[in-house]
Amino acid sequence: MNTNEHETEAVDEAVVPAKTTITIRLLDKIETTTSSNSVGN
Amino acid sequence: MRLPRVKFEHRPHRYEDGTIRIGGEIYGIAAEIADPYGWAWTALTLMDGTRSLDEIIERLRLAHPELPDPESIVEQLAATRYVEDAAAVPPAGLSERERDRYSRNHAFFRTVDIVPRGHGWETQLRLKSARVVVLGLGGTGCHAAWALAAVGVGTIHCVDPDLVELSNLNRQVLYGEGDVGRPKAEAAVARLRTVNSDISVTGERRHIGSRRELDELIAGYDALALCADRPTGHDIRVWANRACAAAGIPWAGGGYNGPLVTVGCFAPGAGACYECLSSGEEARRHPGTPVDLGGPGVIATSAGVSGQLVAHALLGLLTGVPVPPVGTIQGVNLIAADHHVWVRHPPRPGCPVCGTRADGSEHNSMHRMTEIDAGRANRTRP
Ligand SMILES: [Zn+2]
Repeated sequence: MNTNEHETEAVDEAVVPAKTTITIRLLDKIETTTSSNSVGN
Repeated sequence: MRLPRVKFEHRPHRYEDGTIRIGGEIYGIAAEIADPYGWAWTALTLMDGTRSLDEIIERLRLAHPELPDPESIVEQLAATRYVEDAAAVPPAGLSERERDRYSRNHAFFRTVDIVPRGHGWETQLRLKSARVVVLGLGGTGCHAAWALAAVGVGTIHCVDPDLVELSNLNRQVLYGEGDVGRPKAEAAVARLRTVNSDISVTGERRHIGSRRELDELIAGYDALALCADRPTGHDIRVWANRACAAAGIPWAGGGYNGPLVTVGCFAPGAGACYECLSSGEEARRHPGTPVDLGGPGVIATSAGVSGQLVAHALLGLLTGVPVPPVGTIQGVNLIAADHHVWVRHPPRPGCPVCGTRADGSEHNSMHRMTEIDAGRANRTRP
């Protein structure tokens, strides 16, 4: 996980952003599983 | 979106630091949301298909009075691939029987789709209206045609000049012992109709011997599955490249060289064409190295992977779900688990098929790919 780079924009008292945004970051290959946990038939 | 609901397959998990994992754990789908104040988590939890957007916003406001604009959080989440509309009604264009038959397709497309949808049957409907030519009904073509029929491509036309031989039965899944000596096109059509009687399957015993004949063959179709290796692999692929570009339709072509199985995925106006990729590969080879076209060795598994990859590429080309790797050749080496093929080269300047004209304009209009391109643009940040 790399949560530092993509923090939710906090609402600042002094500078109120026009819109509260969230960052949805697709995981990199290396961060997703490589194990085989297939299901179904 | 009337009743937003987080898709079952994408249900979120919250880590101790508040970070949310959503979309499971598969590369290309899974994502994280930094959410130190719990706003997104609360919103996602409320999106269970029982509440309207307004109700969710109101509840989020009550739960987090410090959040100045809860509607913004809710709208952003509702616009992602992870959310569906629980109130959406299945389309009239699919019968109850079809919705039952394709229920696993529906769940698959829901999982991999990067565009938020309503009822989620949009991809199936596009397949139902799609018209595809499968050229070549050997090892690759049999599996490709079977997959396209099983998935529900509405119109499939199967073409091959040959008769079924005993030595085909080690890999050509559409034929049985009783078909030996019968035209492949005829046997394939009969078999495919038993796989799926809700679609239209036609065929003809025919040899395609020129570019012009290929032009005629694909007229009126939406895509070509090139599964023939005659006349010589390169000729037929060059014809396919040019004929499909001229017709403005996408195509996929697959094959194998022993254990190495590859599939090329091409669409007019999007990325490099087949000839640009192959000349790029030629330039990469040591000068004088002969091109290895392999021998006759093939087994059911390598033929199966080949045909399935062709079908899979075509599904993406026809619907944008999943987003197809246009302008590339990809493949697997069945004897080396760490060998993944992904051939990419830029379009050659001045290529008459995919290149850029002197005035900077592209050669082919890209009406069919508009939505796919839009999907790709969304890919990095759904
Ligand atoms: Zn080109």
